[in-house]
Amino acid sequence: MSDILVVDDDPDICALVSFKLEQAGHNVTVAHDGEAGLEAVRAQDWDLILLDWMMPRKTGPEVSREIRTIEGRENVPVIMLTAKAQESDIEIGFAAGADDYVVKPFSPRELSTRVTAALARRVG
Amino acid sequence: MTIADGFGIALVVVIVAVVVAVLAIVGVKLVRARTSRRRESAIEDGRRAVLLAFDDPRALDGLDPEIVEAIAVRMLSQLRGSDRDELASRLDEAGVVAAARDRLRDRRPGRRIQAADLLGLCADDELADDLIDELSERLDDRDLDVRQSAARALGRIGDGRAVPALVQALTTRQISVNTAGVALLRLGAEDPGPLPMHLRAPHPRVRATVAEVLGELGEVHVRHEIADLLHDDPVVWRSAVRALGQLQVNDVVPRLVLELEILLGVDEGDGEVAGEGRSSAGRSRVELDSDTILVIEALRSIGDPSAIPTLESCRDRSSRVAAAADRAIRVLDRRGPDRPFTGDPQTTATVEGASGADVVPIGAAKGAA
Repeated sequence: MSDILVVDDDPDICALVSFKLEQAGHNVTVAHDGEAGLEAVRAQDWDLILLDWMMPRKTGPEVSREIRTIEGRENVPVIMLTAKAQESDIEIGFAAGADDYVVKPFSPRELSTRVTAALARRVG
Repeated sequence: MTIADGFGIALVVVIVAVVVAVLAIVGVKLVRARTSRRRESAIEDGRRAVLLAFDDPRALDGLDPEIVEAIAVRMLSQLRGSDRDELASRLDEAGVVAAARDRLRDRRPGRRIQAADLLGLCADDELADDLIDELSERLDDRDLDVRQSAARALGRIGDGRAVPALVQALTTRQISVNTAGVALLRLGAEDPGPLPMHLRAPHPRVRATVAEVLGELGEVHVRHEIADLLHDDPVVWRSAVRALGQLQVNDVVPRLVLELEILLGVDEGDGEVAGEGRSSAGRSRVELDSDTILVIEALRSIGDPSAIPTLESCRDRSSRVAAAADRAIRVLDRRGPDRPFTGDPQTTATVEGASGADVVPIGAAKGAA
């Protein structure tokens, strides 16, 4: 069972992702903006973070960049889950420290597979 | 009664009025806050129920159908793949889809819009048969937003039988060009078959929109029909140029080069031109420059170096045109002079990356095979 932080300002997405990941056996906590997400990252060690791009207070890439500067959180897997689908967006996402990138509309089943793979790499 | 008594009574009346007004404002705020909390709670319950419906559609029993519909629309529009199909199927089993079909005729436009959105997201092949007619009817709705929503839903369903209704709505200006374009694009991605015949539609809005959609879809087999629209009116002409640029097929380059030469001739005041699209009549220098740049961009996108001599003659035009020509020549120069040009899209068509350096066959483009 892994602890996963979902940072997204859309309550429907949060509910949907939480529901599917909890069904897969994970513990899920939700933060509704970038700043709240960063506070949660500072407060606790997460096994994986799912990050939206367009959020109030701080964007996904900003949060991801800051996560990489927090001591002890440099290697936590970050998956961007966003509607921004341009090539240049994906480049920015990875450059900001994301380990994987999933575009909305998304397949929860595919997301769950990517989460499992990222968690397995972390353990490995 | 003395003046002092009168003043005292007036003061009491004012104080009572102020107190009543303050109480009324506080009361209204309390009621609003309570209503808002109730609605938020109902939305939260609805959200939970929609998620539980993945496993059991009975989870939706007894909930406000309007709230369920709104949540379902938001969730379905964020989903793809088997989970999306599964949720759509559960909503159908729970009667949400049937209720939405009824609400397509609700007297409130907001409900009709939401119902159309939901039906577009939920329809499967079986439902599509009935929904195409029901949603097509909504293209005549008195409310513009309902018509747009119905057009989007028809596009999402992706059944070619909806094309005539969408084309009709585009002709009569019932829906916007953008909405029609997106709907036809979605629809054409599933089945482009019914679209090309509308390149000969009587209305220029339809010809222009369909040309752009076919260009976006990469339907290279209709490139000559699209090139024929270069003799059409200016709006259609621009759409045809953009579409040919999108299709990236070499054998239309001579047609585009001719257009460019004509535009350069018009710019020099050489008189009459063959097609209406680039006629100089009543057109400003800015418009002529914009159209010239449009052709230059299309030639750059296709990337055939045979266009370079004509592009070079653009360099002594306005700074905008010269800059566009310079950019195009730089890209085309990198492609080299020995690029094959057989006119066969299967062997000569190319797709070009942003840098212009990576050239790959367009065989994957729809219609090329």
